[in-house]
Amino acid sequence: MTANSDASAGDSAAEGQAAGRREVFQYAVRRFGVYLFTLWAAITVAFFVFRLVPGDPMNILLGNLTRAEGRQRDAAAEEAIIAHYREIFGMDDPLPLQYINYLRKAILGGLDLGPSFVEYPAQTKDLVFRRMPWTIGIFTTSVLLAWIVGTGLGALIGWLQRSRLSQLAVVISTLLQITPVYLVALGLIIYVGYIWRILPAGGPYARHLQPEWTWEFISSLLTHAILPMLSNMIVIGAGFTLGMRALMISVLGEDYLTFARAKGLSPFTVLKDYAFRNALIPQVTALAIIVGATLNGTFIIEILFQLPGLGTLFVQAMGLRDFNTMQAVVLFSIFAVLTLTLIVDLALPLLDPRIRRTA
Amino acid sequence: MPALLEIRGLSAGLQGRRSITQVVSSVDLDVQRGEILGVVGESGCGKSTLATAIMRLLVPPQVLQSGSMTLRLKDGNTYELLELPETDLRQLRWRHLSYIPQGSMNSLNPVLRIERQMTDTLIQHGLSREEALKRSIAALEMVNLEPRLLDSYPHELSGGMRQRVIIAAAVSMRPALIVADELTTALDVVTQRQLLQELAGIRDELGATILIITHDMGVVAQIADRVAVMYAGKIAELGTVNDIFESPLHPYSQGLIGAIPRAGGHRVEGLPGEAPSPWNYPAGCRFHTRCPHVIDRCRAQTPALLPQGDGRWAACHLYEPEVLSNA
Amino acid sequence: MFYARRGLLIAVLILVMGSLLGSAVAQDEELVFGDLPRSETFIVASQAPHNDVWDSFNYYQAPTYNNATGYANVIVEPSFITSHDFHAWLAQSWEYNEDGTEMTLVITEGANWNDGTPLTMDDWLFTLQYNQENADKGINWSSFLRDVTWSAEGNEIVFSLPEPNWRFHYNFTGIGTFTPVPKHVWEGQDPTTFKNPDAIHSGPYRLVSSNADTRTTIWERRDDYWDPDRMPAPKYMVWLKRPEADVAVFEWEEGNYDLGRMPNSVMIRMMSANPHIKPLVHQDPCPRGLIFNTTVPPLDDNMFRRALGLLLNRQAVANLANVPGYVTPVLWPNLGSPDESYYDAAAAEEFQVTTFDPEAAAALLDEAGYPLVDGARVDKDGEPISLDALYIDIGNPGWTVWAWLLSEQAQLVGIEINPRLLDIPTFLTQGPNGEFDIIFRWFCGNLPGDPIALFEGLHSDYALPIGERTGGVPGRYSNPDMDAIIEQLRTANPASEEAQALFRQAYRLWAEEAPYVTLYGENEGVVFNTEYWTGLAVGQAWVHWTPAARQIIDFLEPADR
Repeated sequence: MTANSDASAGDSAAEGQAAGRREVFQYAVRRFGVYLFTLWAAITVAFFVFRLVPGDPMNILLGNLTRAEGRQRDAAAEEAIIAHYREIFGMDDPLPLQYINYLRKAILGGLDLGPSFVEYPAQTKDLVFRRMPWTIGIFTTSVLLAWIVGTGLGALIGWLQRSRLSQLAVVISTLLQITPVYLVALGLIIYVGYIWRILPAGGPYARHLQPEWTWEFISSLLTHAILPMLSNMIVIGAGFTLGMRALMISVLGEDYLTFARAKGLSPFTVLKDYAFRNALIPQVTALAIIVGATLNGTFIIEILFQLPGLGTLFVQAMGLRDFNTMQAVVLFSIFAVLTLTLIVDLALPLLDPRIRRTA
Repeated sequence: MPALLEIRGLSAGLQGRRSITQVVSSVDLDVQRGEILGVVGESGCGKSTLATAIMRLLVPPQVLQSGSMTLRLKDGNTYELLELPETDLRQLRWRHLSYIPQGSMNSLNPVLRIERQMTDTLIQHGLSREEALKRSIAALEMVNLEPRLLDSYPHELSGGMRQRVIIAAAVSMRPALIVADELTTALDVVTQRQLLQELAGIRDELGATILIITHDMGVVAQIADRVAVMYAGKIAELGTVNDIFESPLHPYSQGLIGAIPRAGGHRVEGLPGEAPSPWNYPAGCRFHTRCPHVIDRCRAQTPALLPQGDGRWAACHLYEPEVLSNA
Repeated sequence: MFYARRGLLIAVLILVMGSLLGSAVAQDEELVFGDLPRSETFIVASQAPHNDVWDSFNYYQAPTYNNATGYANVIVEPSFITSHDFHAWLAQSWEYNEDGTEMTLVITEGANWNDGTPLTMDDWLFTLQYNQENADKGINWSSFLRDVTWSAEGNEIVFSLPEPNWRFHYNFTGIGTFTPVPKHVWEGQDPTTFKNPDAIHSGPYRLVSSNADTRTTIWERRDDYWDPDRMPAPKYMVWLKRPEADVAVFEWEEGNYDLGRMPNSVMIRMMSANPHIKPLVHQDPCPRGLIFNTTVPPLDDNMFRRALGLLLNRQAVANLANVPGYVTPVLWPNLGSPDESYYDAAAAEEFQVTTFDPEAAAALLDEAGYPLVDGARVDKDGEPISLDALYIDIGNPGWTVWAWLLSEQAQLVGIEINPRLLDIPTFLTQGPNGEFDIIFRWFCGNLPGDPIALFEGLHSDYALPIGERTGGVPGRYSNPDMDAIIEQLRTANPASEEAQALFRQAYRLWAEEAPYVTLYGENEGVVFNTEYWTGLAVGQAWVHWTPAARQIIDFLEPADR
């Protein structure tokens, strides 16, 4: 009877694997559907919310002009200017029609998101694509690096939680994590950039250069990227370190860790296959969340380091109530965050076999 | 023939901010070669601490305070377990000394396949991959599991199957001593019985020695040869299963035996009160607060574990010669 | 392996030593921005607003006009500069016929574009027609040509105006002015989208490079500039957007910038760290004032409005707003010394237009029927008075502190005024839409001898319903007497006795009615680094954000080093 029941258990495990593959596929399809829906919902909400913010771009335009010309303009001239730009920006249509036009152009018009005010007459799409590499290059890279370093460091100090060195590391990480990124960046700029003069502390590359495939340009680009990336890495990395340490400590209390040690495995194997791999799963989810959060919170660094990224673009667009550009930035951010979450969600089953069945 | 494992004066406790709270107090215990020794006691009596101390798996704030443990293997090698450096200990573990942990339902790594979890140990102990696989399959068969389970992840198995995998893993290196901590907790009665039978079978097949730690007198009655009754960090009584169940000496053992539900529905009252926690072990005999036969001496003096003839040992003032002669 | 490593080490050492040696040699001539000699380069650290256009040099685009590349300052030249002294530039003079229906403009001959092409009458005529044709596209400098015709002969253009207009020449002399564009560049282009990528205008520089990533534009002086007397001294001009003030302060201290704006709060520190740094102060042509919404009781009562005017401690606000030592009092209608022919000093005295006198305010309120009841002034319905004062924060304390000072003084006489901070876009929308009780504004009307802009906006044509944008003073003020005066002023020759009498009349009416009140004149602090360049001085009349600043680069002289 015993043997019988166990044999059937084995059969069901094999069947379960086939069913599991089917379920993974269904899970992926369902997850992708959710992704598309969320994307649409977020764009729609952004479209209407921005238009509820008080402030009409036309007034800002005219405010600038009045000051530029240094005199009162006659009303007819203002009407002409307003009428012209309202038409260009499609602002005369009723809101629902504007929304439909926006979606139609965005989807069918090859991401035609309209003209921008920030860099008129540049197309919003071009503007976003030109700024995007900076945001991705500097921030996504630094978040990933911070994640790798923080995860490794956090795993190590969690593993060695009782040593003095790792207690010191916890104190330092906590201090860094609560320090506003503004202060970290400013500190680096002032000390590294100006007082010690080790690295350049502003701009994407030296001001006289133009982008081209020369060593001078590339080295300038790289040295200029160090400090902004470091600022981001220090603060975010400290967060990742603390997070991973906590995960590690909780995993260290698990029964399978005691069992692994009782099995006489080498500490490295225990750390790598038993502690780290289990603590890694929530840490990967944390990465997706943090990337999303930092993408929107990076403009402080972009402004301090004068980087032409999406964060500064959004701040400028907000100041002008440049709806097209604001939407384009939000669209991109939502797209990036959702895509990243999607990738992580689809990748998690690879890391965690439990999700393959329960999803 | 010398005992396989000889424990002398083993004390372990919890490191507090200023002092150590003793959980296990100078335990002396001999585990004989080939026997199944059951250690029973209520929750919190220190039996699990004893088990982890034997495995040297105590993690802070648990600390080992004093004592010695000597493992004498058949091949003549003798190891002082408490003096071995970590690397040697690692060699010893699993090859000669394996462990089935408490809460073993969760003792498998959820992200690795069973195969990896069984063979990684064997490979680290010097076996080739093929050999390790062969041994693992053999071990699984020993606990009536299909070899194809090696491809599964732990969450795909039932609780009983996971427990069997653990047992299989623990015996795969044919160790001399297996320490099983609360092996059957959280399993249904039928599975419990099967497991215990399999464990007894393994002992017979491998000639292994098993130290089984449980709060369940029923488990002990089913499988053990000898029983050590623990109370508040100390061994209260030690003897064969028959002796202890038929005529328990220590009033605590008497209470425990009385608390077992028996066929016929007649149930003897359990022990009054609760076991003391390590932070307030009473002075003198630690059982005196609950003992129906308490005498003045119990409150002042700690009774020693003394031989009572026929291989029986008890730590109770009632069985000390001068008390007996006074009675 | 070992040898390869040693080889690498030696190579690195040689490189390091080589670069050290190279930098030692280069120390003779300090180079910046690659290979520009520092002593021949003038570096302007601008503080660009939200617009961030670095690849378009289009004088017409309304959205991008205000940028930081410097093109309006180094290559766009005006017809005339009249803001301080008179300077003929691309044009020589103008003249009206007897009844003000024709104006003759004499253009400067012999000018050329910075690509070497001559600037001719053809370009002028092309530009006039181009602007007129594209007026419906909302481009700058086009609306004044509505219904205007012109003909050219020799170096003269004769404009025929649809009705008498003695102010037509303002379009050539104002701070922002009409200026010709090169026909060979603009012909066939759409004025709202063409980027004028080579930055062709008549100024003494040509574009070397402009980079939106680094926000830097580099200009090089051209040898073939058409007016050798006005050849500027710097061989190179670099316009860049400076970092945040916290960081830019280090650049200034190291002498990396020559001219730019910085917050007053860090000026003292910069000056003590770098002795070459001097503050330059110049008057902003648009004085600050407060507008009352005359449709909101009790602000519909001129007595009440004047009482609020008496509660304004203008001196205190001006002191906070300005660089210490450079406070300009507001003597309406113009900053500085007013021309008495256009302004009624007796009315200013009688209606106390710039006086701070809370007691007089209280007396005025009592007299006008706003009594104190239980410590609060009540309106005509017996309800306690409560008003909002809208302000914005652009970093200058003057723009914010008035609201709090007014609130404090109003409290003392029993009126509740709540300061409310708005963000700039909201402010710029609620203002013209009339959605306010009291709001801060600047008044750009500083035309010498002709303060019409100060009154024009008070015409009832601009008193649109609340919520509709108005181009005038947005307080919804409406008064037939004022309308009558304004309508006469529109066609009168501002230099005539008749017009001057009308102006004095308008002034008296304004002082009595107080539809808006004066606040203070603002002086802009500009930081000037005298290590490499000198020649700029305090009080020089120029405004760095407009084409009139073309003049400032002519003042520059190399420093004696």
